[in-house]
Amino acid sequence: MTMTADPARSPPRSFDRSWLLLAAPLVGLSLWPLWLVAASMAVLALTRPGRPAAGARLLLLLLLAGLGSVPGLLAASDFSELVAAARTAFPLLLGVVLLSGGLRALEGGRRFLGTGELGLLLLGAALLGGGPGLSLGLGAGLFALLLAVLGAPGPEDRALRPLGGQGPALRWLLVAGAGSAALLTVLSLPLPTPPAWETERGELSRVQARIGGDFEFERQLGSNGENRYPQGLGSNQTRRYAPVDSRNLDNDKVILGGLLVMLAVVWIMWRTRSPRSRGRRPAWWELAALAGLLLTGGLLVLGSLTGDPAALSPSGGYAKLGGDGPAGLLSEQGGGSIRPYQKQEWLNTLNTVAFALLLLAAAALVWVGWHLTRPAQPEADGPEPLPTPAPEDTTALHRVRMAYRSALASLTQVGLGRAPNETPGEHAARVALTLPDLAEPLRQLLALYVPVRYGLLASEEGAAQAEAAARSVARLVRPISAPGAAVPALG
Amino acid sequence: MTHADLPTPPADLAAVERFARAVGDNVARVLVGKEAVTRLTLAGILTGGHILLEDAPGTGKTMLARAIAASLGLTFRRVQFTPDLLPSDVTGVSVYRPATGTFEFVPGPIFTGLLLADEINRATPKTQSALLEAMGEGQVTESGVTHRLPQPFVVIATQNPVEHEGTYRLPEAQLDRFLLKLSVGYPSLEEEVQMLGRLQGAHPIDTLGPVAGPEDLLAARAAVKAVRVSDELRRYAAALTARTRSHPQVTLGGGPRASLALQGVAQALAALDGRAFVVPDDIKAAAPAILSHRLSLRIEARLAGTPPESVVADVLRAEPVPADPAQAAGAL
Repeated sequence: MTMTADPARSPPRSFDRSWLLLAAPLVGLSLWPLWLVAASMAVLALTRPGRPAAGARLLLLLLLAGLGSVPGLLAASDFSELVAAARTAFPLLLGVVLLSGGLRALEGGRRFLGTGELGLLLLGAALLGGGPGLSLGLGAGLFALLLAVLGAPGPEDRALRPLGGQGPALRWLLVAGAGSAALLTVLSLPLPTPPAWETERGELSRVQARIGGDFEFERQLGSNGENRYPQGLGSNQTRRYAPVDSRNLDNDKVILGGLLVMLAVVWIMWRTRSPRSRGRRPAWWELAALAGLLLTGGLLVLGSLTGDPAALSPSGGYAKLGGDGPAGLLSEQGGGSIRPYQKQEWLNTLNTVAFALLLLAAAALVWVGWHLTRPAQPEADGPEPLPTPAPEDTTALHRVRMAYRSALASLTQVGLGRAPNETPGEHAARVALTLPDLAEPLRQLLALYVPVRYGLLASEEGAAQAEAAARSVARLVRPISAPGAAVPALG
Repeated sequence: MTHADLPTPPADLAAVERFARAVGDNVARVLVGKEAVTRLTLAGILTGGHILLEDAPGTGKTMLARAIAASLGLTFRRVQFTPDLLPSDVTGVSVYRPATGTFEFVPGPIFTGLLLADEINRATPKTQSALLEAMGEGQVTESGVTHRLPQPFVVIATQNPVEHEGTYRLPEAQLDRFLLKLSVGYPSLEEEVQMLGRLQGAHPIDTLGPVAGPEDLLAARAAVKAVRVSDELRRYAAALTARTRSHPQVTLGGGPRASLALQGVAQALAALDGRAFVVPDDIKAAAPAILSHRLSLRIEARLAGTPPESVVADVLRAEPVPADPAQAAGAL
């Protein structure tokens, strides 16, 4: 079947409803400060699909969320307040992650997933938000959620997904996500008191911290490590306070923060080594994304320093440790459970294993970043199967565009990518001058791609031919993408 | 690239393609090796615009105009512009008839299908400006009475860029009325030899007959307007024009009329290929002929001998073409 546009009629005008997605930050209205909502909407406008900064949306949102705690960090008078200020960013960070994930899903046409993620954000706002304007904020949030769902583009308007096997990639992503979630769950299980709390202290130390003005924590340690509570502090309002100590770390958040910082380092390495990027001034959004990555990582590490585990982590962390016993476990005034150190030794072992695994993963990430610019290894002979597109992308239009993208990716790999000011035809002519064997498959591919791209004309048989032409291009390019092969000079 | 494998175009676009091929072949009987300029001239005429041919003497400017007129079956008038030419010599004049006691309008040579304004820059600005209304509105007003010009109406003007003695540079407003400014250019050695052989006997222009009629031209113009231009290509055309305005060597860049011209000529070029949609190559092909004569360069650039065409080339290099991204460069 050939789809043609009726030339006698002007193309139908349609409202670009993807702009409705900009309403998504309003979902968190009852939880987030107004400046964050407004700034998030601006970031979404700047990172709409197709814009250069689109890939950095999450990091830009993280930067915004992290910026909110910067004044608190600057105003901190001691280390405990610094940690407390860092922790105030955690709900915001989690919120923008949900926001970004939900939007990404909606833009990809996965309405259920996107609605679910934004719904979680709304639920979080309902549970954590407060004040007289809560109802209004929730109402506006619900309305914004509906607008965002309406803004999910139709199949023809969706940004194309990159080639490379959508199905398998998604499966692996799910597996990796489930594994990470399990790992983090294990890491957040209640663990015994770190030995650091048992160490001898020469003099009485006293640490006070005020978090959000709501709670006051006070603890005094004796010379033998036992707790000594001053007179009058034995009421229920007095909580135990674990002294801030670099050895008392919430490992999962430290690892996550460290990974983010490492990711920033990998990106910098890639940016300075990549031939395409070398000499090009970094764009504003690249710098902002880098700052977001570093700030988020720093906040996670800083905020994970264990001040008051019980207040921080509902699931325990190092909290709910009771007793003034010789093991150094703290007793909670007003009652608390006792978790003997010996019975939970296996959790520490598991934690260590998980920590080692994550370190290995981080090392692998660095290795991948370091070798990112190496040409791909030659593959076995034979036609390279094109990836199967997702079911919703099986229209002929999308198949042809994906085939062209695939060919373009193959050419880019050997330094024959399309320059921004080149038309597809000019690019093909230049490539054909450099590699004459590619002239015919590129001509065939462009004869099918150009009507799709600029005329919305496609046919099923044309899509199959385009895929065959893209395979030919990939096959002809493969020998020169091998390491050591001479890359042809650009024409 | 070629578009030979494209889906079959609609019937009226196929007719445009046949029409263009026939005219092009006919013109090629007179002019050797001028397919590109003939194609752009045809695109300009299909868009409903007027053409300014600028080149050295003897390169075939007048011959191109005559061949086009003959091929399209348009009535053809030629006016040799001189410093003593008056506006009424072009547009017409009201003459008093004693017998009836009334003034009668005697149409000037502008009332024709194709007017060749030869060496237009030799006429005074007043006479040049007499063409403004005719070219812009398709009408002439004399003694308060407006007279419609026949349709189709095309002006092909020529000027010599090397002679400045006794010439009057066309004002910007007049230049903007010309859709395209084209240069015919010298033929190659082989083409010149071929031309000598062809013109040894009688000149083929004398026997050149029409291959289409004015009604075919009007139908083709209607078909061209239906060629699809995507929103992003419209944006691309407008961005190119806007970029000429911000170019450091330009004091006055292209205006909205230039963007309209880019869109129209790109549609015509697509139709000449039998395509029902515009591609970026059409816009890039049209841009030099549309933008260069609309630019007013800074004095420093003029003194340095910078041609406007190089500014247009800069603009084309700087503006990204709307196409699928090669790769998300640097995407995090």
